[in-house]
Amino acid sequence: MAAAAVHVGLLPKTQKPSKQVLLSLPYFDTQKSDDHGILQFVGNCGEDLVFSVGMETEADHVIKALKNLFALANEDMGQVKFIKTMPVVNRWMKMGGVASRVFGLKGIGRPLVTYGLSLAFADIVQLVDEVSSGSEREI
Amino acid sequence: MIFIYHCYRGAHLSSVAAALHLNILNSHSSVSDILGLEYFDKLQPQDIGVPVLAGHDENNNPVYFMGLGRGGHIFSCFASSVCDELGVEIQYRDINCLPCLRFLTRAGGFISRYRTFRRLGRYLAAMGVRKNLAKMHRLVLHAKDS
Repeated sequence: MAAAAVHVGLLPKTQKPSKQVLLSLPYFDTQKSDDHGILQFVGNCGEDLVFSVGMETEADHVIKALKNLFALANEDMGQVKFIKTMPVVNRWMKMGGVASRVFGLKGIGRPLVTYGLSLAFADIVQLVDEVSSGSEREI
Repeated sequence: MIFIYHCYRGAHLSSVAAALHLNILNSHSSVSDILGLEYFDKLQPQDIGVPVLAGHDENNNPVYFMGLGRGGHIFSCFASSVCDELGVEIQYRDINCLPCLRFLTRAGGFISRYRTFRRLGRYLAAMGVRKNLAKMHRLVLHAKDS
C-alpha cells in the first residue's frame, strides 16, 4: 500500500511520512484476511493504473497460477507488472500486521506498522524507483 | 468452461475431486481405487501453481487440478479481480477442495514426503480422502451444476 502510494505521488519520496499521513492513506490497515487477493485502486501514474493487493506469503504461487490460467484460456495479460514488496517488509511491520489483522489489536498494531514503515521508507522509495525506471523486480 | 480443482499441494484432494468430476471415481470408490489414480500423491511443493489436466468431462470441458499452498482463497479473489480490471472474460470455475481436508489426509500427505514412509503416507492420505468422498462428491456436483 505504501509503495503504491509512493508510486502515484500520494507520499513524497523525499520525506519520511508521519504516522498521521500514513493512517490517512486510502485502504491503509483496513484490509481483513478475507479481502486478500482483491485489487485496490490507489491512483494513476501517467497512463498507468496502480493497485495494491494483499497476498500474505502466497504471492509467488498465486501469480504463477493466474498466469497459467490466462495461458490456458489463451488470453493476454497485456502490460501488467506484479511487484513483490515483501523484500522491504521488516519485522516491525510483520508484527504490527499480525497484531492488527489477526488479533484485531489496532492500538498495538498500527504504531508498530507505522514505525516499521518509517524505518523501511528509503527501501520502499528505492523499490518504486527501480520499478518506475523499468528495472526488473517483477514476479 | 475450464474447471480447476485446487488444494494445498495438488496431490490428494484436488486430484481425487478431478477424478470424481470425470466419473473415474464415485462416492463409493474404495481406498485401492483412490490409490490407483494416476496422479494421486504425485505433485510436489515445486509444482504448486501449475494446473495439471486430468481430462475432459462429458461436455468436453477441460478439468484441471493444482496446488495453491495456503493461497486458495486469495487466488479466487485475485483471479476474478484481475479479470474484472482487465475486462477479460475467462470461462473458468475454481473450486477449493480444502474444506474436505481431514486430519488423516493431512498427516498422510506429510508422511508421504519421506521416502521411507511413502507407502504408509499414501495409504493414510487415501483413507482420509475415502472418509470424505461423499462430501467431495457433493462439492463436485455443486461445481458442475452451478
